[in-house]
Amino acid sequence: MANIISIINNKGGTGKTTTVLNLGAALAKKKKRVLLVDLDSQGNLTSTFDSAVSEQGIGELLVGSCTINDIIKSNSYISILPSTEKLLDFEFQLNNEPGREYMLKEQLEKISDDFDFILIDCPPSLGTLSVNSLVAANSFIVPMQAENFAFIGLDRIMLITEKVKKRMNPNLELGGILFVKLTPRTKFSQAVISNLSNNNNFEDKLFNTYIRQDIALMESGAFKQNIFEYSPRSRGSQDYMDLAKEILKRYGQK
Amino acid sequence: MAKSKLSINDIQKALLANTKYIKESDRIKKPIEEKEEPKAIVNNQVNIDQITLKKFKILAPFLGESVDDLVNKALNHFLRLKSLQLDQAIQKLTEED
Repeated sequence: MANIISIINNKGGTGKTTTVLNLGAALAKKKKRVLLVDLDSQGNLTSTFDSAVSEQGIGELLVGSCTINDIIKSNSYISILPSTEKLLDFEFQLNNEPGREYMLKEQLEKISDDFDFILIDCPPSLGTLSVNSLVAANSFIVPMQAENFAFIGLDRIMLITEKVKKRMNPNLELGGILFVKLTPRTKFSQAVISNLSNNNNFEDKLFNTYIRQDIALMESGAFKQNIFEYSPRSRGSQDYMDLAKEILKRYGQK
Repeated sequence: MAKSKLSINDIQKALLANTKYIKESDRIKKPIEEKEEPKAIVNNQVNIDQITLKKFKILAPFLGESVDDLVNKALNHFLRLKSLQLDQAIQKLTEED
């Protein structure tokens, strides 16, 4: 059974897609079988895989108009369930489906044994698609900058995940909070980190690894590459590999 | 309140004011008290960021020392340098006078 991890934050620009792409690549480099799921209609994750851009995507899969085999794309080291810009239309369709929160879980259960890790890139909202990801996942990781709006975003995610846990997925756990673009010396960063590390709900949930500001991370996406392909010696490459090692340790894998 | 006067505790409180789950969690421990600037000899009272501490933990066994000793040595070295700079600055000021 795969570890299914939802990478979620309802605030945009917090590094969800970058984290799914590069953490996935790092885990694949550690010889893990990895599937990425693009649940964002912007399709940024999908666009980094040339072969993954297609007519049909995760939206069609969720409403049952195609199968996983119709849309799954794989290269030599990683697989992806791509998104298309039509995904938002399918989200509206899903809203009329009974049991709409379970559609992704149903699909991922069919292929869960084929992978060690399934990473879900969530949209920057807490709508039906994000709830689907939380119902399908064993855990969720919140990438965030150490700033006010991201702190509020984390609070909202915790409120909704509490409900999902209570009503739909009792096994759901907070996998960790990942600080991105962190400048640890500022008072504000220290205040955010202190607020979380002094709260029993979060104190052991902050990843030791944090992702430093790195221009190579911004550039790599434009060249449709992960950070290990684009700049293997960059800070971003080092940070995401450290994160992968920490996650393997946390999830009891080598 | 002037921006430069904000303490970490001020920011912590402001951050919490905008939250519900985090604020209402009664398991929140007391916010960290800000330590005053050290005035005399310091024995492991500095906050070391985790990455640096990790590096010290890796380095210490290679040098056959404890992490505490290594941190203290590094701190002592840094303070001696600062002290030297201070002496030079005082000397320069005296000469100018």
